[in-house]
Amino acid sequence: MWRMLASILIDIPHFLIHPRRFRWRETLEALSTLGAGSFQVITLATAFAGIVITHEMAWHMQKALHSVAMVPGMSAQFIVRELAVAVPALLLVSKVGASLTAEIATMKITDQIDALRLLGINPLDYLLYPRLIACTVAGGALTLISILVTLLCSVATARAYHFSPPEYLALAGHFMKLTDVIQAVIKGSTYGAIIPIMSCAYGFCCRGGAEGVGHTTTQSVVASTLCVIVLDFILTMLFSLI
Amino acid sequence: MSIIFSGISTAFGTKQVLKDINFEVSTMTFLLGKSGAGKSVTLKHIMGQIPIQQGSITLDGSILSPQSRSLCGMVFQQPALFDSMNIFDNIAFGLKTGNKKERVLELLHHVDLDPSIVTKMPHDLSYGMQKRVSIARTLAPNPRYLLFDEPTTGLDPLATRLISDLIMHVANTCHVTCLVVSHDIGSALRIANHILFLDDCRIVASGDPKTIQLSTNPLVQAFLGRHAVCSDSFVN
Repeated sequence: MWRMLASILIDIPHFLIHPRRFRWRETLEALSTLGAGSFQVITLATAFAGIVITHEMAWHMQKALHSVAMVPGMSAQFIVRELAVAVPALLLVSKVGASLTAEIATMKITDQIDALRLLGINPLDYLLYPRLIACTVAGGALTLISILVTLLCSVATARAYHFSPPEYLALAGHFMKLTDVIQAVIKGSTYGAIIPIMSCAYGFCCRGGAEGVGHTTTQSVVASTLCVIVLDFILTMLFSLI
Repeated sequence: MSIIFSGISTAFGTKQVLKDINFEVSTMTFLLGKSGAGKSVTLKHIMGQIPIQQGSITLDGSILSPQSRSLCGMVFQQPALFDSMNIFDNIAFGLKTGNKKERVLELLHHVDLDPSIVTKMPHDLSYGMQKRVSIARTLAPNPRYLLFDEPTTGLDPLATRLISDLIMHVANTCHVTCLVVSHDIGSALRIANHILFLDDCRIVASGDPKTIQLSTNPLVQAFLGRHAVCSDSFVN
Protein backbone atom coordinates (compact mmCIF):
# COMPACT_ATOMS: atom_id res chain seq x y z
CA MET A 1 0.00 0.00 0.00
CA TRP A 2 2.78 2.43 0.93
CA ARG A 3 4.46 1.79 -2.45
CA MET A 4 1.19 2.55 -4.22
CA LEU A 5 0.70 5.69 -2.14
CA ALA A 6 4.25 6.81 -2.96
CA SER A 7 3.77 6.20 -6.68
CA ILE A 8 0.53 8.23 -6.61
CA LEU A 9 2.24 11.14 -4.81
CA ILE A 10 5.13 11.03 -7.30
CA ASP A 11 2.73 10.97 -10.26
CA ILE A 12 0.64 13.97 -9.11
CA PRO A 13 3.21 16.64 -10.20
CA HIS A 14 3.49 14.87 -13.59
CA PHE A 15 -0.30 15.04 -13.94
CA LEU A 16 -0.35 18.74 -13.04
CA ILE A 17 2.12 19.67 -15.79
CA HIS A 18 0.44 17.48 -18.42
CA PRO A 19 -3.04 18.90 -19.02
CA ARG A 20 -3.70 16.24 -21.67
CA ARG A 21 -4.17 13.74 -18.86
CA PHE A 22 -7.07 15.83 -17.51
CA ARG A 23 -10.51 14.27 -18.14
CA TRP A 24 -13.27 16.91 -18.04
CA ARG A 25 -16.24 14.58 -18.35
CA GLU A 26 -15.26 12.30 -15.51
CA THR A 27 -14.28 15.28 -13.33
CA LEU A 28 -17.70 16.94 -13.75
CA GLU A 29 -19.44 13.63 -13.10
CA ALA A 30 -17.37 13.15 -9.93
CA LEU A 31 -18.10 16.72 -8.83
CA SER A 32 -21.79 16.04 -9.21
CA THR A 33 -21.88 12.64 -7.49
CA LEU A 34 -19.25 13.14 -4.78
CA GLY A 35 -19.68 16.86 -4.09
CA ALA A 36 -23.34 17.62 -4.69
CA GLY A 37 -24.28 14.12 -3.49
CA SER A 38 -22.77 14.87 -0.08
CA PHE A 39 -24.42 18.29 0.28
CA GLN A 40 -27.57 17.14 2.11
CA VAL A 41 -25.94 14.95 4.72
CA ILE A 42 -23.23 17.53 5.47
CA THR A 43 -25.76 20.36 5.75
CA LEU A 44 -27.94 18.34 8.12
CA ALA A 45 -25.04 17.18 10.30
CA THR A 46 -23.38 20.59 10.60
CA ALA A 47 -26.73 22.29 11.30
CA PHE A 48 -27.25 20.09 14.36
CA ALA A 49 -23.60 20.46 15.35
CA GLY A 50 -24.11 24.27 15.32
CA ILE A 51 -27.16 24.01 17.57
CA VAL A 52 -25.45 21.63 20.01
CA ILE A 53 -22.22 23.63 20.28
CA THR A 54 -24.04 26.92 20.93
CA HIS A 55 -26.18 25.34 23.67
CA GLU A 56 -23.16 23.63 25.23
CA MET A 57 -21.09 26.82 25.28
CA ALA A 58 -23.92 28.82 26.78
CA TRP A 59 -24.54 26.18 29.47
CA HIS A 60 -20.87 25.95 30.45
CA MET A 61 -20.33 29.71 30.42
CA GLN A 62 -23.41 30.20 32.55
CA LYS A 63 -22.12 27.59 35.01
CA ALA A 64 -18.52 28.74 35.14
CA LEU A 65 -18.68 32.49 34.44
CA HIS A 66 -22.31 33.27 35.33
CA SER A 67 -22.54 35.10 31.99
CA VAL A 68 -23.35 34.18 28.39
CA ALA A 69 -21.92 37.38 26.90
CA MET A 70 -19.07 35.54 25.16
CA VAL A 71 -21.28 32.90 23.51
CA PRO A 72 -21.53 34.53 20.04
CA GLY A 73 -17.82 35.21 19.76
CA MET A 74 -16.62 31.87 21.10
CA SER A 75 -19.12 29.72 19.22
CA ALA A 76 -18.62 31.57 15.93
CA GLN A 77 -14.86 31.27 16.20
CA PHE A 78 -15.04 27.58 17.08
CA ILE A 79 -17.43 26.96 14.20
CA VAL A 80 -15.30 28.73 11.59
CA ARG A 81 -11.93 27.48 12.79
CA GLU A 82 -12.78 23.87 13.57
CA LEU A 83 -16.33 22.55 13.69
CA ALA A 84 -17.52 23.47 10.18
CA VAL A 85 -14.23 22.17 8.76
CA ALA A 86 -13.70 18.88 10.59
CA VAL A 87 -17.30 17.61 10.55
CA PRO A 88 -17.71 17.81 6.72
CA ALA A 89 -14.23 16.28 6.24
CA LEU A 90 -15.04 13.30 8.48
CA LEU A 91 -18.42 12.87 6.81
CA LEU A 92 -16.72 12.94 3.40
CA VAL A 93 -14.33 10.22 4.58
CA SER A 94 -17.18 7.93 5.61
CA LYS A 95 -19.38 8.67 2.61
CA VAL A 96 -17.05 9.34 -0.32
CA GLY A 97 -13.93 7.54 0.93
CA ALA A 98 -15.75 4.29 1.67
CA SER A 99 -17.61 4.26 -1.63
CA LEU A 100 -14.47 5.11 -3.62
CA THR A 101 -12.41 2.40 -1.98
CA ALA A 102 -15.14 -0.21 -2.41
CA GLU A 103 -15.59 0.75 -6.08
CA ILE A 104 -11.89 0.67 -6.93
CA ALA A 105 -11.25 -2.48 -4.88
CA THR A 106 -14.08 -4.26 -6.73
CA MET A 107 -12.66 -3.07 -10.05
CA LYS A 108 -9.27 -4.43 -8.98
CA ILE A 109 -10.49 -7.91 -8.05
CA THR A 110 -12.65 -8.20 -11.18
CA ASP A 111 -9.74 -7.30 -13.52
CA GLN A 112 -11.39 -4.02 -14.59
CA ILE A 113 -8.26 -2.04 -13.71
CA ASP A 114 -6.10 -4.40 -15.80
CA ALA A 115 -8.65 -4.02 -18.61
CA LEU A 116 -8.23 -0.23 -18.42
CA ARG A 117 -4.46 -0.55 -18.67
CA LEU A 118 -4.72 -2.90 -21.62
CA LEU A 119 -6.99 -0.44 -23.41
CA GLY A 120 -4.17 2.08 -23.11
CA ILE A 121 -5.75 4.13 -20.32
CA ASN A 122 -3.79 5.06 -17.22
CA PRO A 123 -6.02 3.97 -14.29
CA LEU A 124 -4.88 6.98 -12.26
CA ASP A 125 -6.02 9.36 -15.02
CA TYR A 126 -9.41 7.71 -15.17
CA LEU A 127 -10.07 6.76 -11.55
CA LEU A 128 -8.03 9.03 -9.30
CA TYR A 129 -7.46 12.47 -10.81
CA PRO A 130 -11.07 13.33 -11.73
CA ARG A 131 -12.06 12.44 -8.15
CA LEU A 132 -9.06 14.20 -6.67
CA ILE A 133 -9.99 17.46 -8.41
CA ALA A 134 -13.68 16.99 -7.59
CA CYS A 135 -13.03 16.26 -3.91
CA THR A 136 -10.57 19.16 -3.58
CA VAL A 137 -13.10 21.61 -5.04
CA ALA A 138 -16.02 20.02 -3.18
CA GLY A 139 -14.06 19.96 0.09
CA GLY A 140 -13.54 23.73 -0.06
CA ALA A 141 -17.08 24.48 -1.25
CA LEU A 142 -18.74 22.22 1.31
CA THR A 143 -16.66 23.81 4.07
CA LEU A 144 -17.95 27.25 3.05
CA ILE A 145 -21.52 25.97 2.98
CA SER A 146 -21.01 24.29 6.36
CA ILE A 147 -19.72 27.51 7.89
CA LEU A 148 -22.79 29.34 6.61
CA VAL A 149 -25.29 26.70 7.76
CA THR A 150 -23.66 26.16 11.16
CA LEU A 151 -23.45 29.89 11.83
CA LEU A 152 -27.09 30.36 10.86
CA CYS A 153 -28.11 27.59 13.26
CA SER A 154 -25.90 29.09 15.95
CA VAL A 155 -27.51 32.51 15.41
CA ALA A 156 -30.96 30.93 15.69
CA THR A 157 -29.97 29.04 18.86
CA ALA A 158 -28.42 32.15 20.44
CA ARG A 159 -31.85 33.81 20.35
CA ALA A 160 -32.73 31.52 23.24
CA TYR A 161 -30.06 33.39 25.21
CA HIS A 162 -31.42 36.81 24.20
CA PHE A 163 -28.97 37.56 21.38
CA SER A 164 -30.65 39.09 18.31
CA PRO A 165 -29.03 38.13 14.96
CA PRO A 166 -27.42 41.57 14.41
CA GLU A 167 -26.14 41.50 17.97
CA TYR A 168 -24.73 37.98 17.53
CA LEU A 169 -22.98 38.90 14.26
CA ALA A 170 -21.56 42.10 15.70
CA LEU A 171 -20.12 40.25 18.71
CA ALA A 172 -18.84 37.41 16.53
CA GLY A 173 -17.18 39.91 14.21
CA HIS A 174 -14.83 40.95 17.05
CA PHE A 175 -13.45 37.42 17.21
CA MET A 176 -13.33 36.50 13.50
CA LYS A 177 -11.36 37.68 10.50
CA LEU A 178 -11.56 36.94 6.79
CA THR A 179 -8.33 34.94 7.09
CA ASP A 180 -10.16 32.49 9.38
CA VAL A 181 -12.58 31.71 6.55
CA ILE A 182 -9.77 31.46 3.98
CA GLN A 183 -7.84 29.10 6.24
CA ALA A 184 -11.00 27.01 6.75
CA VAL A 185 -11.44 26.65 2.98
CA ILE A 186 -7.78 25.68 2.56
CA LYS A 187 -8.19 23.06 5.29
CA GLY A 188 -11.41 21.74 3.72
CA SER A 189 -9.78 21.42 0.29
CA THR A 190 -6.75 19.65 1.77
CA TYR A 191 -8.90 17.13 3.62
CA GLY A 192 -10.97 16.68 0.46
CA ALA A 193 -7.81 15.91 -1.52
CA ILE A 194 -6.48 13.34 0.92
CA ILE A 195 -9.65 11.21 0.74
CA PRO A 196 -9.41 10.02 -2.92
CA ILE A 197 -5.63 9.57 -2.62
CA MET A 198 -5.99 7.23 0.36
CA SER A 199 -9.03 5.48 -1.13
CA CYS A 200 -7.30 4.82 -4.45
CA ALA A 201 -4.06 3.67 -2.79
CA TYR A 202 -6.00 1.13 -0.73
CA GLY A 203 -8.36 0.16 -3.56
CA PHE A 204 -5.53 -0.52 -6.02
CA CYS A 205 -3.91 -2.88 -3.49
CA CYS A 206 -7.05 -4.92 -2.76
CA ARG A 207 -6.73 -8.70 -2.88
CA GLY A 208 -9.17 -11.54 -2.43
CA GLY A 209 -12.91 -11.50 -2.97
CA ALA A 210 -15.77 -9.79 -1.16
CA GLU A 211 -13.96 -10.17 2.16
CA GLY A 212 -10.93 -8.41 0.69
CA VAL A 213 -13.10 -5.50 -0.48
CA GLY A 214 -14.68 -5.17 2.97
CA HIS A 215 -11.32 -5.35 4.73
CA THR A 216 -9.74 -2.82 2.35
CA THR A 217 -12.66 -0.40 2.74
CA THR A 218 -12.44 -0.53 6.54
CA GLN A 219 -8.68 0.02 6.47
CA SER A 220 -9.05 2.92 4.04
CA VAL A 221 -11.73 4.68 6.12
CA VAL A 222 -9.69 4.29 9.32
CA ALA A 223 -6.49 5.54 7.62
CA SER A 224 -8.26 8.48 5.95
CA THR A 225 -9.89 9.50 9.26
CA LEU A 226 -6.52 9.43 11.00
CA CYS A 227 -4.97 11.41 8.13
CA VAL A 228 -7.67 14.09 8.43
CA ILE A 229 -7.16 14.35 12.21
CA VAL A 230 -3.35 14.51 11.94
CA LEU A 231 -3.53 17.00 9.07
CA ASP A 232 -5.98 19.09 11.10
CA PHE A 233 -3.43 19.26 13.90
CA ILE A 234 -0.57 20.17 11.51
CA LEU A 235 -2.55 22.83 9.61
CA THR A 236 -3.97 24.33 12.83
CA MET A 237 -0.43 24.62 14.20
CA LEU A 238 0.85 26.11 10.94
CA PHE A 239 -1.98 28.65 10.70
CA SER A 240 -1.54 29.67 14.32
CA LEU A 241 1.97 30.81 13.39
CA ILE A 242 0.66 33.17 10.71
CA MET B 1 2.99 -12.22 -37.86
CA SER B 2 3.86 -14.11 -34.70
CA ILE B 3 4.87 -13.91 -31.08
CA ILE B 4 8.06 -15.82 -30.26
CA PHE B 5 9.15 -16.78 -26.75
CA SER B 6 12.91 -17.35 -26.49
CA GLY B 7 14.45 -18.73 -23.30
CA ILE B 8 11.90 -17.19 -20.95
CA SER B 9 12.55 -18.02 -17.30
CA THR B 10 10.61 -16.54 -14.40
CA ALA B 11 10.79 -17.04 -10.66
CA PHE B 12 8.77 -15.49 -7.83
CA GLY B 13 11.24 -15.42 -4.97
CA THR B 14 12.58 -18.94 -4.68
CA LYS B 15 9.70 -20.47 -6.63
CA GLN B 16 10.54 -21.15 -10.27
CA VAL B 17 7.45 -20.62 -12.46
CA LEU B 18 8.83 -20.79 -16.01
CA LYS B 19 12.14 -22.31 -17.07
CA ASP B 20 13.65 -21.79 -20.52
CA ILE B 21 10.35 -21.53 -22.37
CA ASN B 22 10.64 -21.43 -26.17
CA PHE B 23 7.68 -21.43 -28.54
CA GLU B 24 6.04 -19.55 -31.36
CA VAL B 25 2.39 -18.52 -31.37
CA SER B 26 0.66 -19.58 -34.58
CA THR B 27 -2.85 -18.65 -35.77
CA MET B 28 -4.68 -20.51 -33.01
CA THR B 29 -2.41 -21.67 -30.21
CA PHE B 30 -3.66 -23.24 -27.00
CA LEU B 31 -1.49 -23.32 -23.89
CA LEU B 32 -2.69 -26.04 -21.53
CA GLY B 33 -1.54 -27.17 -18.12
CA LYS B 34 -2.49 -27.70 -14.53
CA SER B 35 -3.50 -24.81 -12.27
CA GLY B 36 -0.43 -22.91 -11.12
CA ALA B 37 1.70 -24.22 -13.99
CA GLY B 38 2.53 -20.67 -15.13
CA LYS B 39 0.11 -20.34 -18.05
CA SER B 40 -1.30 -16.97 -17.00
CA VAL B 41 2.22 -15.71 -16.23
CA THR B 42 3.04 -16.32 -19.89
CA LEU B 43 0.17 -14.03 -20.94
CA LYS B 44 1.10 -11.44 -18.33
CA HIS B 45 4.64 -11.33 -19.74
CA ILE B 46 3.23 -10.43 -23.14
CA MET B 47 0.96 -7.73 -21.69
CA GLY B 48 3.74 -6.30 -19.53
CA GLN B 49 1.91 -7.01 -16.27
CA ILE B 50 4.87 -9.13 -15.08
CA PRO B 51 8.34 -8.02 -16.21
CA ILE B 52 10.50 -10.49 -18.15
CA GLN B 53 13.35 -11.69 -15.93
CA GLN B 54 15.31 -13.78 -18.42
CA GLY B 55 14.98 -14.40 -22.15
CA SER B 56 13.01 -12.36 -24.66
CA ILE B 57 9.68 -12.13 -26.42
CA THR B 58 9.59 -10.87 -29.99
CA LEU B 59 6.49 -9.60 -31.70
CA ASP B 60 6.55 -9.41 -35.50
CA GLY B 61 10.32 -9.79 -35.39
CA SER B 62 11.09 -7.02 -32.92
CA ILE B 63 11.54 -7.15 -29.16
CA LEU B 64 8.29 -6.56 -27.27
CA SER B 65 7.86 -2.90 -26.29
CA PRO B 66 5.01 -0.78 -24.90
CA GLN B 67 4.28 0.37 -28.48
CA SER B 68 4.14 -3.13 -29.92
CA ARG B 69 2.00 -4.26 -27.00
CA SER B 70 -0.78 -2.07 -28.37
CA LEU B 71 -1.11 -4.71 -31.11
CA CYS B 72 -2.30 -7.17 -28.45
CA GLY B 73 -5.66 -7.39 -26.75
CA MET B 74 -6.46 -9.56 -23.77
CA VAL B 75 -9.73 -11.22 -22.78
CA PHE B 76 -9.78 -11.97 -19.08
CA GLN B 77 -11.17 -14.99 -17.31
CA GLN B 78 -13.92 -12.75 -15.92
CA PRO B 79 -15.71 -10.41 -18.37
CA ALA B 80 -14.20 -7.39 -16.51
CA LEU B 81 -16.75 -5.00 -18.01
CA PHE B 82 -16.89 -1.52 -16.49
CA ASP B 83 -19.94 -1.63 -14.18
CA SER B 84 -20.66 2.07 -14.38
CA MET B 85 -20.94 2.13 -18.19
CA ASN B 86 -23.54 0.75 -20.54
CA ILE B 87 -22.58 -1.77 -23.22
CA PHE B 88 -22.02 0.90 -25.89
CA ASP B 89 -19.62 2.87 -23.68
CA ASN B 90 -17.83 -0.31 -22.63
CA ILE B 91 -17.10 -1.29 -26.22
CA ALA B 92 -16.40 2.26 -27.42
CA PHE B 93 -14.10 2.99 -24.46
CA GLY B 94 -10.96 1.86 -26.25
CA LEU B 95 -11.83 3.68 -29.49
CA LYS B 96 -9.95 6.92 -30.01
CA THR B 97 -11.18 8.05 -33.42
CA GLY B 98 -13.67 7.20 -36.18
CA ASN B 99 -17.36 6.48 -36.20
CA LYS B 100 -17.83 4.88 -32.81
CA LYS B 101 -21.45 3.87 -33.35
CA GLU B 102 -20.71 2.08 -36.61
CA ARG B 103 -17.71 0.29 -35.11
CA VAL B 104 -19.63 -0.81 -32.00
CA LEU B 105 -22.44 -2.26 -34.12
CA GLU B 106 -19.90 -4.03 -36.33
CA LEU B 107 -18.21 -5.55 -33.27
CA LEU B 108 -21.53 -6.66 -31.80
CA HIS B 109 -22.23 -8.39 -35.10
CA HIS B 110 -18.82 -10.13 -34.91
CA VAL B 111 -19.62 -11.55 -31.49
CA ASP B 112 -23.18 -12.42 -32.50
CA LEU B 113 -24.98 -10.04 -30.15
CA ASP B 114 -28.13 -8.05 -30.88
CA PRO B 115 -27.52 -4.27 -31.36
CA SER B 116 -30.45 -3.55 -29.02
CA ILE B 117 -28.29 -4.39 -25.98
CA VAL B 118 -26.11 -1.27 -26.38
CA THR B 119 -28.14 0.71 -23.86
CA LYS B 120 -28.15 -2.07 -21.26
CA MET B 121 -25.83 -2.21 -18.28
CA PRO B 122 -23.41 -5.15 -17.83
CA HIS B 123 -25.43 -6.58 -14.92
CA ASP B 124 -28.50 -6.82 -17.19
CA LEU B 125 -26.74 -9.40 -19.37
CA SER B 126 -26.08 -13.09 -18.82
CA TYR B 127 -22.52 -14.21 -18.07
CA GLY B 128 -22.10 -15.61 -21.58
CA MET B 129 -23.27 -12.33 -23.14
CA GLN B 130 -20.90 -10.39 -20.89
CA LYS B 131 -18.05 -12.58 -22.15
CA ARG B 132 -19.03 -11.75 -25.73
CA VAL B 133 -19.14 -8.02 -24.94
CA SER B 134 -15.72 -8.39 -23.34
CA ILE B 135 -14.38 -9.94 -26.55
CA ALA B 136 -15.99 -7.12 -28.59
CA ARG B 137 -14.36 -4.51 -26.34
CA THR B 138 -10.97 -6.16 -26.76
CA LEU B 139 -11.43 -6.23 -30.54
CA ALA B 140 -12.39 -2.54 -30.69
CA PRO B 141 -8.86 -1.09 -31.09
CA ASN B 142 -8.15 -3.62 -33.91
CA PRO B 143 -5.55 -5.79 -32.19
CA ARG B 144 -3.48 -8.18 -34.30
CA TYR B 145 -3.11 -10.63 -31.44
CA LEU B 146 -5.79 -11.78 -29.05
CA LEU B 147 -4.84 -13.39 -25.75
CA PHE B 148 -7.49 -15.33 -23.86
CA ASP B 149 -7.02 -16.17 -20.19
CA GLU B 150 -9.10 -19.26 -19.46
CA PRO B 151 -12.11 -18.13 -21.50
CA THR B 152 -14.27 -21.17 -20.78
CA THR B 153 -13.56 -21.71 -17.08
CA GLY B 154 -16.76 -21.98 -15.06
CA LEU B 155 -19.03 -22.33 -18.09
CA ASP B 156 -21.36 -25.22 -18.82
CA PRO B 157 -20.47 -27.48 -21.79
CA LEU B 158 -22.89 -25.68 -24.12
CA ALA B 159 -21.57 -22.22 -23.25
CA THR B 160 -18.02 -23.58 -23.49
CA ARG B 161 -18.69 -24.75 -27.01
CA LEU B 162 -20.31 -21.41 -27.92
CA ILE B 163 -17.34 -19.44 -26.61
CA SER B 164 -14.77 -21.65 -28.35
CA ASP B 165 -16.79 -21.36 -31.59
CA LEU B 166 -16.79 -17.60 -31.09
CA ILE B 167 -13.01 -17.55 -30.62
CA MET B 168 -12.58 -19.43 -33.87
CA HIS B 169 -15.09 -17.17 -35.64
CA VAL B 170 -13.35 -14.02 -34.38
CA ALA B 171 -9.94 -15.35 -35.40
CA ASN B 172 -11.19 -16.05 -38.93
CA THR B 173 -13.30 -12.93 -39.52
CA CYS B 174 -11.05 -10.38 -37.79
CA HIS B 175 -7.81 -12.04 -38.96
CA VAL B 176 -6.24 -12.10 -35.51
CA THR B 177 -3.71 -14.54 -34.10
CA CYS B 178 -4.99 -16.10 -30.89
CA LEU B 179 -3.15 -17.45 -27.87
CA VAL B 180 -5.58 -19.20 -25.55
CA VAL B 181 -4.61 -20.25 -22.02
CA SER B 182 -7.02 -22.93 -20.90
CA HIS B 183 -7.72 -26.19 -19.09
CA ASP B 184 -10.21 -27.19 -21.74
CA ILE B 185 -8.65 -29.96 -23.83
CA GLY B 186 -11.93 -30.47 -25.72
CA SER B 187 -11.92 -26.93 -27.14
CA ALA B 188 -8.20 -27.15 -27.83
CA LEU B 189 -8.52 -30.34 -29.86
CA ARG B 190 -11.46 -28.88 -31.75
CA ILE B 191 -10.22 -25.42 -32.75
CA ALA B 192 -6.47 -25.16 -32.13
CA ASN B 193 -3.86 -25.66 -34.81
CA HIS B 194 -1.08 -25.76 -32.24
CA ILE B 195 -1.25 -27.03 -28.66
CA LEU B 196 1.38 -26.63 -25.94
CA PHE B 197 1.41 -28.37 -22.57
CA LEU B 198 3.10 -26.63 -19.68
CA ASP B 199 4.17 -28.65 -16.64
CA ASP B 200 6.87 -28.31 -14.02
CA CYS B 201 7.93 -24.90 -15.44
CA ARG B 202 8.60 -26.35 -18.92
CA ILE B 203 6.78 -27.17 -22.14
CA VAL B 204 6.39 -30.93 -22.02
CA ALA B 205 4.43 -31.48 -25.21
CA SER B 206 3.74 -29.44 -28.29
CA GLY B 207 2.24 -29.97 -31.71
CA ASP B 208 -0.98 -30.06 -33.68
CA PRO B 209 -4.05 -31.76 -32.13
CA LYS B 210 -3.32 -35.12 -33.77
CA THR B 211 0.28 -35.14 -32.50
CA ILE B 212 -0.93 -34.25 -29.02
CA GLN B 213 -3.43 -37.11 -29.06
CA LEU B 214 -0.56 -39.49 -29.76
CA SER B 215 1.65 -38.08 -27.02
CA THR B 216 2.82 -40.47 -24.33
CA ASN B 217 3.44 -37.74 -21.77
CA PRO B 218 1.59 -38.65 -18.54
CA LEU B 219 0.13 -35.14 -18.11
CA VAL B 220 -1.17 -35.08 -21.69
CA GLN B 221 -2.59 -38.57 -21.22
CA ALA B 222 -4.26 -37.48 -18.00
CA PHE B 223 -5.83 -34.48 -19.76
CA LEU B 224 -6.90 -36.58 -22.74
CA GLY B 225 -8.17 -39.39 -20.52
CA ARG B 226 -10.56 -37.14 -18.68
CA HIS B 227 -11.95 -35.82 -21.94
CA ALA B 228 -11.27 -38.78 -24.20
CA VAL B 229 -14.81 -39.45 -25.36
CA CYS B 230 -15.59 -35.80 -25.68
CA SER B 231 -12.39 -34.95 -27.53
CA ASP B 232 -12.63 -37.93 -29.86
CA SER B 233 -16.11 -36.95 -30.84
CA PHE B 234 -15.01 -33.35 -31.36
CA VAL B 235 -12.09 -34.38 -33.56
CA ASN B 236 -14.17 -36.84 -35.51
